Amino acid sequence: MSEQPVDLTRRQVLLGALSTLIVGCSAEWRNIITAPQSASIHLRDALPNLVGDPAAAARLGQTYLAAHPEYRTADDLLNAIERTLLQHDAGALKQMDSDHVATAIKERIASEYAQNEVESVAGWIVSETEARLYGLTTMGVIDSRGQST
Amino acid sequence: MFIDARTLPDASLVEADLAIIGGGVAGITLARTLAGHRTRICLVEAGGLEYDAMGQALYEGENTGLAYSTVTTRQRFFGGSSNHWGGYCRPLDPIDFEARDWVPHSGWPFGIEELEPWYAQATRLVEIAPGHFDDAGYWQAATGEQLPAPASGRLRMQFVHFSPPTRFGARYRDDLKNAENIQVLLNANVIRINATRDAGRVRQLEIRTLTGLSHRVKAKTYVLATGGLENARLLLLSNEVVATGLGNHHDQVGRYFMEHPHLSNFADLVTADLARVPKILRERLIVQGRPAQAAFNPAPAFMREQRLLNATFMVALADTYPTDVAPASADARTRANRDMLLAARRFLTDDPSPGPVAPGFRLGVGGSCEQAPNPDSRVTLSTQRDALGLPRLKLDWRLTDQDRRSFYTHLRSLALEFGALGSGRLRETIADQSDWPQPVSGGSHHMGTTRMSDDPSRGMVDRNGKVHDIDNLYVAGSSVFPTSGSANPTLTLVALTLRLAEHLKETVK
Ligand SMILES: Cc1cc2nc3c(=O)[nH]c(=O)nc-3n(C[C@H](O)[C@H](O)[C@H](O)COP(=O)(O)OP(=O)(O)OC[C@H]3O[C@@H](n4cnc5c(N)ncnc54)[C@H](O)[C@@H]3O)c2cc1C
Repeated sequence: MSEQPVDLTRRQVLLGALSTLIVGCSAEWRNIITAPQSASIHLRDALPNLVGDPAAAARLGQTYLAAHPEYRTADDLLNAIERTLLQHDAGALKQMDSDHVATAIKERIASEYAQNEVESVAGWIVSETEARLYGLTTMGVIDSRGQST
Repeated sequence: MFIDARTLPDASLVEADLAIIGGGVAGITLARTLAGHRTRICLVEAGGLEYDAMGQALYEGENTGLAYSTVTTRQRFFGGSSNHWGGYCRPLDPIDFEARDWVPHSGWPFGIEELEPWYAQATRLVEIAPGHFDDAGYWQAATGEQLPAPASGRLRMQFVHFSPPTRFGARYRDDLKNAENIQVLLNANVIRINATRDAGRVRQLEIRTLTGLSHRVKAKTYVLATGGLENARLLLLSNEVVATGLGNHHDQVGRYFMEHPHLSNFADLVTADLARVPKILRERLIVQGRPAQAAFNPAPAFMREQRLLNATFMVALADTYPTDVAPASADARTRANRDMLLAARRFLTDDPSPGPVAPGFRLGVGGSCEQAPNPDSRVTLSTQRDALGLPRLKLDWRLTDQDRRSFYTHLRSLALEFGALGSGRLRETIADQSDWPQPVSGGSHHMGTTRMSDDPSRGMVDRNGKVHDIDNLYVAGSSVFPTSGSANPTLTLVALTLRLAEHLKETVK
């Protein structure tokens, strides 16, 4: 496992982390993916832990994306997630390794539930960040075994 | 002593100090509490000791509002509806007694502190463990399971006790039989309450049996305890002096009928890890020999802030999804639930195991809501007649947007709470929340039709349950509730009846 680069920017950490979520899905979405290039292998390894079963997540993500035409690319979703996290963890995030980013995202999701920052996705009441993760999964970089592609 | 009114000579007269109309939960509680007291009591009960189809048919009614069975939601024989009640017991919440500016017609003449001593006694009559209804620390210690602290600020945990359930007729029959001051008149339908010309006092009760006999009961004081629907009907039927019905000078009788609206199949809640949902949240646990289970109720501060009514939700294990591969026969609901469990697995369990996993469980959600007092939700008389020749009851049950908005908002809170705790995900399965889905049903809780208020223009009984302007007529039961809260009503009506008994000890000689 590679060392965590010490000077990674928050955005690099996030983009790297989240790009690994992207699952094999419809060709339509694959065509518009702009996979971030700056991801560390370390983060790629860590972040699939945020999504359980990629195929199931992708199905939910499809419904979410259908209701959110503003998210046309993975970058759009990544930016949205990043903005949300930075809003709440501005200082600390810069120092975090991938595991900590994953933890921060989990905490963020829990706090979104507590704050009613949720959406209805096919009837499911889902936190905004969680829904975006599913949307990212639909856009696809994790294979059906949950590995980053 | 028990007497079958069908065995008395026609046109008999029974005399007593106190006549109690109705031998259900309230009537039996009152009589039993006064057993051995110097008051001579006649308890007049429409039914016998067992269920009887002809007697039960007298409960048939007409519906003009939401569909509602007036027959299956009550029982017309000794013991009343306790003959098939579910035994859920919880007191009302302090906020339920308040005049809330966002709930029209709300406010009891007193706060919960007035009822607290009576609640304590009532727990013994319904045979539940004492108290701890909102004491999570107690249940945590008693069950040995850590209970999660609510995370959203919108809900809190309360605890429901379950009566065995006490069948009041069978359980307390001997107490009444052995009391020298109590006579129970069975198979005696009160068909009218006769008042003096000025309608200021009750003179007597007219009794009719299904075998065609007519009797009378005369007493100094009368307590009407025939249940939340029939109390209003009997007053409306008693219209020879006041054409609109006895005690109805201010057009209050029969209005404000409230239920606890219940929905079915309104949500699926899934959980991946039962360790995150302590047992007492999802099943009845026997604690010190008595069953109890947690319920979720809205936090008072949240209700105030959002101007919402009260509600209660309970969950229970309903389904297990044991394998990682959905069976070919899985329906859309199962597939949707499994998808969520698999997708959100990392948020719902600490189990890091890769590869095939058992997705988890479905928890069924039961929910009921407070109904705001609504004068247009009401009991009147039908043009149809029953076997005794009396107009049947006509029920126009109506719900409001406020009721519905409260229910759905609190349902959302439940989703948020489970999400925030990482213990589940909730799917709302009612597509259109702009209306009540059918069927919306009730909990067989009949409240509000003879509501209590110190102001006669806003309620027909006073704080003691005495009918305004009638010196010697009281009403017992949940028909006197000015608001319904979301707790099952029986514990509260027993507490109120015990309080009434104390009052009558002082006033009836
Ligand atoms: C299926 C079901 C489940 C329930 N579950 C719960 C629960 O879990 N928790 C809870 O708190 N509550 C529950 N309830 C409600 C509970 O049973 C009532 O709140 C309670 O029985 C009301 O008591 P009451 O004395 O006012 O009326 P009742 O118990 O209905 O008694 C009224 C009595 O009056 C008699 N009567 C009627 N008309 C006349 C007349 N004209 N003359 C003489 N006598 C008459 C009747 O025969 C009856 O005996 C349930 C009810 C039902 C039907």
